Amino acid sequence: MSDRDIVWPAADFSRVPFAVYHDPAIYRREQERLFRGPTWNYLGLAAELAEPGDFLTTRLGETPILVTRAMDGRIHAFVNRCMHRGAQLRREPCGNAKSHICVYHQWSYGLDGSLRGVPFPKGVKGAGGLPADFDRGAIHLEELVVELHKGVIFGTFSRHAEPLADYLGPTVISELDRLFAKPIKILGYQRQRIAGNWKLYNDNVRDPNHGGLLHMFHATFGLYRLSQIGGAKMDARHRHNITYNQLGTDDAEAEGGYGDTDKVYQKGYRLQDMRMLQNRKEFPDPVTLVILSVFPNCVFQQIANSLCTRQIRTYGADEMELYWTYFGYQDDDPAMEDHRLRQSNLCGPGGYISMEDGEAVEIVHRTTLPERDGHARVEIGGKGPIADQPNLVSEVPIRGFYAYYCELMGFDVETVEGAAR
Amino acid sequence: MISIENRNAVTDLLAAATLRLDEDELESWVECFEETAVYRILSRENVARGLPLPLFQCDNKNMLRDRVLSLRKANVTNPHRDCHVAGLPALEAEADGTISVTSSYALYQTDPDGVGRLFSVGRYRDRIRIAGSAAKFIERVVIVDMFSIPTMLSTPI
Ligand code: FES
Ligand SMILES: [Fe+2]
Repeated sequence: MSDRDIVWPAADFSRVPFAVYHDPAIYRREQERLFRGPTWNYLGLAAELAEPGDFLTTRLGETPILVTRAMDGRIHAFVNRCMHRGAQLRREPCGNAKSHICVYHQWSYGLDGSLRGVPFPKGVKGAGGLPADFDRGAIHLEELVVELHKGVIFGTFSRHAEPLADYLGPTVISELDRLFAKPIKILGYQRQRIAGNWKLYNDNVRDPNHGGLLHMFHATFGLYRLSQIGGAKMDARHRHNITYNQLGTDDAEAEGGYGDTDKVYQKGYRLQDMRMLQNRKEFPDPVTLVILSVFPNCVFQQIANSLCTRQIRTYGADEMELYWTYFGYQDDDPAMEDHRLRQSNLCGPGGYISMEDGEAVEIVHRTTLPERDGHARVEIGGKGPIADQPNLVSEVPIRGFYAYYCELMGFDVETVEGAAR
Repeated sequence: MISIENRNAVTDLLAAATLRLDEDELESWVECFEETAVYRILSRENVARGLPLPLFQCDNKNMLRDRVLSLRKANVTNPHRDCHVAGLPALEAEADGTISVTSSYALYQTDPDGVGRLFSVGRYRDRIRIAGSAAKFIERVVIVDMFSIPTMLSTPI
């Protein structure tokens, strides 16, 4: 496909061409320009690699990645691919090892990625083996640049990426500092396979508006309503987003906004076991919900006392995996840990207030497939300049995502707003 | 030694637990559990790593009732029909008079266009108490081998 084929008819990104969710050529270009471009991608948490030799395998976009803690304590990230003929080097999700040995022909690598050994280098009885000019020292696993912030491991393929702190910006950093103020403890993982384009999930988490409309559990039981205090904050480039709100801050008048959508906000239902909704205050501020989305592959979550990261892994234009890592703090007492495990019911693939997102992504993906020339309409919260939102009835952060996306992808964007269909 | 009557009570309960889900009788599915029963769905990945996080957890029957209420009134689920196919159960008598039961399952989901897919496979690890002639779960733990959940986990397994 060529740039010509894709039309961004509105300079304020209030129209998103459906083709970007489906076109295999665009997907290929995303891998190259976004995931292997000057972006910082979530790879994991240092708490998962507590000891030297600990490793985990993950993905950056669709590229398999091996993250290790070397003997000197430093964290490295490599493409999880043997430099001989390309076999997947580590096949397990995590472990501890002194070296990484490829199962195919037993090439072995140090924890720093250097090639250590090749079996039968001189062949047998003077025949076979490696050629005279084989330079073992020049062979090294393909390594990413790694930076950590508060124990969150980010990696980039690009030597031209801005420093991580600049990439995240002060607003995002203050949220990460809040969430990772204390040493964490990993509680476990959840995974969800979604038959839809990875950007549809990015759209979903930049859409505070759906939180109180699609996720009826939220509204029915009062955890998150569009009438509560909340909003969306972005970084200077609008590529990241923070949706936040405060439980129990709406009044009867504001609730009236649900109008004839009374299916969504139903009075009179309550849970028999209210522990699910209880927020045990643990942050200095009154915020009870934070969904922090960092371009292009991750989300950090606080929903009451349910804390986790969500990583987006791509499997082609039509499929993604959402990888959830839940954590608490090392100083949690058993009652708090119990409470966090109970509240994990709120999120994940079976979460009371998140299960719908997989279905939402899939129904958009399915029906936009034949609409090669159609566009999504992104106008809630207003058109024109992209700015922070002082309330939840907004999807403006989606426009922020695409502004940066188009810049990296090199898409031309119409400057005449009237061209919007 | 488990009597044939108790064995029958256990298999009746196992059959009811999956058939009621398949027939969308969620409210009567809840009646397979004692008031203090625990129902958990765990990812094989977490079990293997000794991590406590569930995919779905009800610590008592009220939490099961809440799940069902939410599924009926609040959650938007992928339209589907469930079909459980369960393997033969292995029963073991416990010292306290309860019975531990392990069985495997496959759960297919069929969409409104009549297209089906394998949604989940795994194991049930149950603890069952028999009072009179009726058996009920005091614990049902589902360990999911297909732990990357397709689309969403809406109806219980
Ligand atoms: S491909 Fe790894 S050793 Fe040959
Ligand atoms: Fe959502």
